[in-house]
Amino acid sequence: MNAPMIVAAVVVVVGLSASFAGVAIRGRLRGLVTMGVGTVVMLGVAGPTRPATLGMTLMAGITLAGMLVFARILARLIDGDEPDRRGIDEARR
Amino acid sequence: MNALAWLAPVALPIAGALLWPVVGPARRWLLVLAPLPALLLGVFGAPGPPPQLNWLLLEAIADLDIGSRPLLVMTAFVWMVAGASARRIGDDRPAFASLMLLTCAGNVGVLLAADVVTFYVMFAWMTFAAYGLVVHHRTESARRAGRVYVVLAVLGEVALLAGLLLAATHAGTTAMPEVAGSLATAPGRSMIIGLLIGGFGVKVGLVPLHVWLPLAHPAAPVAASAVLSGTMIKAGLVGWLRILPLGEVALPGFGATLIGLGLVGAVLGVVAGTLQSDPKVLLAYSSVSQMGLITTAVGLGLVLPDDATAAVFAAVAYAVHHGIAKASLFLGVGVHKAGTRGWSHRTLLAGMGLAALALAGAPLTTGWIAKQTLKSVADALPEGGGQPLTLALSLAAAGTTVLMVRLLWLVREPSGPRSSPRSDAPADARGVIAPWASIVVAVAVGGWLLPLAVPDAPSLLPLTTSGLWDGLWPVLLGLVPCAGWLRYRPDRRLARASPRPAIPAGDLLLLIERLAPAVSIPAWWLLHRFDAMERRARTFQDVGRVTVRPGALIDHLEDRLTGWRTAGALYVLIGIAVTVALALGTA
Amino acid sequence: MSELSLAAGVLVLVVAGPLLGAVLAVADHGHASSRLVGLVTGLIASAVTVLSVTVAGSGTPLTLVLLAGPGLELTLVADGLAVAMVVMTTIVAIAVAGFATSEDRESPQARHPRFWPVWFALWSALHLLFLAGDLLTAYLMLEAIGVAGAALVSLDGRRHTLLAATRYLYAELVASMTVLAGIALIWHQTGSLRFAELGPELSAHPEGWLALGVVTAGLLLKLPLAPVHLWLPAAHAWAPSAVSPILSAVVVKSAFAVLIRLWFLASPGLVTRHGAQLLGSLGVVAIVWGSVVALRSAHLKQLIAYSTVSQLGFLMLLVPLMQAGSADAWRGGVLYAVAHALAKAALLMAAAVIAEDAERPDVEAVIGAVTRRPLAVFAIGVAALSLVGLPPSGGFVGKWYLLVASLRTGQWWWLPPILVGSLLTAGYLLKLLKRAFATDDLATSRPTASPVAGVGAAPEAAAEPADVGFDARGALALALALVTVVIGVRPAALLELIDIGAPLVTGGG
Repeated sequence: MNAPMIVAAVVVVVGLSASFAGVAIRGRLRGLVTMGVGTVVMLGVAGPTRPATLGMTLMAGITLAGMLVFARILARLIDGDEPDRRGIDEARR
Repeated sequence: MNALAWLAPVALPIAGALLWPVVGPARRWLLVLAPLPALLLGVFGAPGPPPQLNWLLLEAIADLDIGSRPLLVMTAFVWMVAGASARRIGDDRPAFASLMLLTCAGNVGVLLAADVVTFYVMFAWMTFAAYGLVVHHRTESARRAGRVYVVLAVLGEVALLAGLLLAATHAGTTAMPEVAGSLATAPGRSMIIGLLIGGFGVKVGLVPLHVWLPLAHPAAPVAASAVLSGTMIKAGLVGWLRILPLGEVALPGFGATLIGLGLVGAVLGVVAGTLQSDPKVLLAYSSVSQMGLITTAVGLGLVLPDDATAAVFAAVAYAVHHGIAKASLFLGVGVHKAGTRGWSHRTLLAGMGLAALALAGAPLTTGWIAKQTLKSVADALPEGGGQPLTLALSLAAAGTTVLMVRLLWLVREPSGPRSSPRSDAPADARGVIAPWASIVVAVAVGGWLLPLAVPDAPSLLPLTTSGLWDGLWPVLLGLVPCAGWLRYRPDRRLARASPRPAIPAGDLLLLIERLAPAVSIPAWWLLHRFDAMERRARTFQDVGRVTVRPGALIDHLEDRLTGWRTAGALYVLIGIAVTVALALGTA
Repeated sequence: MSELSLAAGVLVLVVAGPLLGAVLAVADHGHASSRLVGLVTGLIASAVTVLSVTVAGSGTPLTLVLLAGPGLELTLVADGLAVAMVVMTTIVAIAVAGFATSEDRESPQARHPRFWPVWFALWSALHLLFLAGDLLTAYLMLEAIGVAGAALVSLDGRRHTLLAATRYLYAELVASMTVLAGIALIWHQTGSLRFAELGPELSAHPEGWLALGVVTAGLLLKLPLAPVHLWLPAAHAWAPSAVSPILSAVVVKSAFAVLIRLWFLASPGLVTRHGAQLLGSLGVVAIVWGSVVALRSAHLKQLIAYSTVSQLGFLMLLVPLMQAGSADAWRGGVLYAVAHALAKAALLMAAAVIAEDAERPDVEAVIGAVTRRPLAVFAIGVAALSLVGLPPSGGFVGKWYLLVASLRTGQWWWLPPILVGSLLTAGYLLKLLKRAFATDDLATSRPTASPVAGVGAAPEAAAEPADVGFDARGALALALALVTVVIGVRPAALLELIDIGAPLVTGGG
């Protein structure tokens, strides 16, 4: 691993712990975004600078961004209304 | 028989943890007996040379070097005492007892492991098992402490894994002495050493990695605080002593950094600790301060390769002294919480006073021996560097005196038995007084047994009559501001102005948390936002998990497994385990 | 040449067919008519048939380079593993498509307009994943599958399904990004992501250990393997009835396929005995833990979800046995994956029909189901046969090969978990069957039932639900379950297919 990769890997680890230890959906989402930035950077600086790395990084970055947007939409849908205890109790049954 | 002597110290606590739910009422003594094989191994030594445990992990190697043996004795003893005082908690909280035993196994294993892989596995084991002890009370503060603990622990483990893997790859072996030796010539030496210092530094409480310590140590029940602050904190020190190329090569840069950070920690611990009003937080800060002094010893070893043996001895002597004294103070606070009146309160004050004197390094106490050893190493610094350093050490001792007076002040009032039956303290104070008394005896005599355990100790112990004064004056100096404070009581006015301590527990962490939005470091930003989101979190955590029927162990376990934090910890552990397993087969 | 281009066309069609379905469904405003669904599935089914016949006939894997641009390589590799998985996906998907159109006929307005497009896209992504020849494509498809799966779970928009979908998506995201970080490490080391080229490059080196370890951890969370199964019970139990069969049967196999491809077909030089034994041990944990929680579950679909947790553990046993050099392990593991998919999908479809009838989500819904839904109950019985591993069924053949492999390699310690796991499986499935054949106690526990208690006095009319006519969905479930029996009776064809392009066993210890 080169130095930029190690830095990016640390960001990934921080994001990983935040996505698990984060509080509430938004907290986890922030962890996920951090992790996503870290992984994409990690991929971007991983290879020798050639078009292949760039192409891969773009592909991975765009799809990841798409997933994160969807994750945000879900978080909005849930956070939008008041917590509905009835639904939760139903889910627990 | 020989292999048994080496394996039982780790195997017995694990067996105890597994058997805890099935053994009858006698099980509470498991907490006391489980560390016994480790104590015996430390005191009497092994019947034979360390066995090659080829079948275990990656050809595990066990060994006890000159530094680990006194630490093993201290660790096992503190665990026995802590186990004795916790034995009643285990009755209604089986998980707590099992976690204590598991953590004990990891802690002892760290001291016995002599190869990189076993050492790392034991270290990680201890770290993650102790998480359960930190969050035991499930209060908001315990949860917060647990979060900070886990974040820093995971970062530390990652740094350690990277450093150990790189070092072992260069050495071509996993045996720790060889790995440490070859580290001197490894390419990228600075990065590896930096990773290792940082990785172990989290456990040691190296400034600025200490922020978890004043939160986590007080959050646990007192018995767990005693082992956290007394013995587990020393595991990081053992890591440094084992893996850093002490005596092989001079590393003035790293050494000076460690000395500097150690002194900063010593001062910070005293200042922040004195401002606390919870005796357990104060004691945790005292640990930061004392570990700072031990860090200074390690730094000296890096600067002066010729005096490395003396530096290692100083660090170990100090660690043994601090482990016993700090554990006895924590347990003393536990006794105080459980309730003391009349003669029992006077005994408590006397015992805690003795331990406090030892920490301050008053003449003829164990702390005095430790500090004198440390100063004699510092004197070896070239170009007159020794004098300022010894002076700094003496001033730190004066600061410790202030801190200890503050502690005794906090526990000065007798306390009745607590009205609420639901508390961590055992209902009956008698159960905790006896273990506490036994460790106070150890504080009094323990340090004097040290020369017996280490063969060439007398030559390393520079005890002179002039040293008596050397130990006395800082204590007297420390008493001066205390007298002034008692006369004018400025704290009353301060307390009226603001009920919270001027430096809250976690010091730098709060600063970072407050600055976080400005600098927008995502992780700290998250920590900052945690508390506000806790309520909504519950609804998110609950969905799709099993219904927990009262008393059903399986339901409880599954409920825990499907929680994000447990799953996250397991996820990281699985990742590490697969990586290690891949490394094992090929090395 | 023409033969090759035919094969290439078929391969493309296998992936593009479902995509075409998605486009047509969008054009149809999401309300895919049964004619459209029938047309598209027919097209895909014929393409898959041609593909499997071609590959089985030639006996060699079929490779097709579609794109070779920098960073955008796309190579399709149709070896035995890929074709077996594609066939499995297609069979399950056709049954589920029939199931869903039958639901649509009964209540045309109930279907969310985004269901069919996303569902077809998921199908396409699954095919492309199984056929992918490089790690990046596999990764992108894993992402697509995760998003599509979570989207399908979330469609009904009720709060707890949204929560379950979020839980699913977030876990998928963490796993995806972990895999991507591992891919970055592999790329840094080898400069290639093609499975076929990783072998010699990814060797015993700290970075190599880390790379494979990180990717493996991500895949285990995606699978998911207990004890990191936090998302599965919620997502699978709360998914709509036309979605959970696909999720539990096929989607969980996607990470499995990538995992064994990476460990054995890409054969990096650093797969070790320790690593393989660790994965096997985690499999044992999953087998036991999933079954134990399933035994205690009172919620019908949750019980089946935990059964999936347990069955995924069986699949993991392939890893240590394969590493020990047993070709039987490959056959057993892959065949078990196929058999499990068919049986689990049948079980979930039958359970959905029965639970809908009884209007309650717990296991008590099954009581007396045999009189109301005989076909569905029969499907549960046949599926149970395969899941427990009794002959003649695909589940039996798969477990048999795993047992043989563990005896041949001397790793006898996998025998007890396989046997105990089968017993526990029998335990929780018998819990369902016993209730299904019980006399209709449900009548007395139902609030609408007549208060008259007594064995002979219960009025016939109260116990008899409205006439449902021919139970098309129950029949579909039964047909799907019977496919496992066909595999059990005549496993040779499938086994020969699986052997094509199987990893060479080195006979390592």
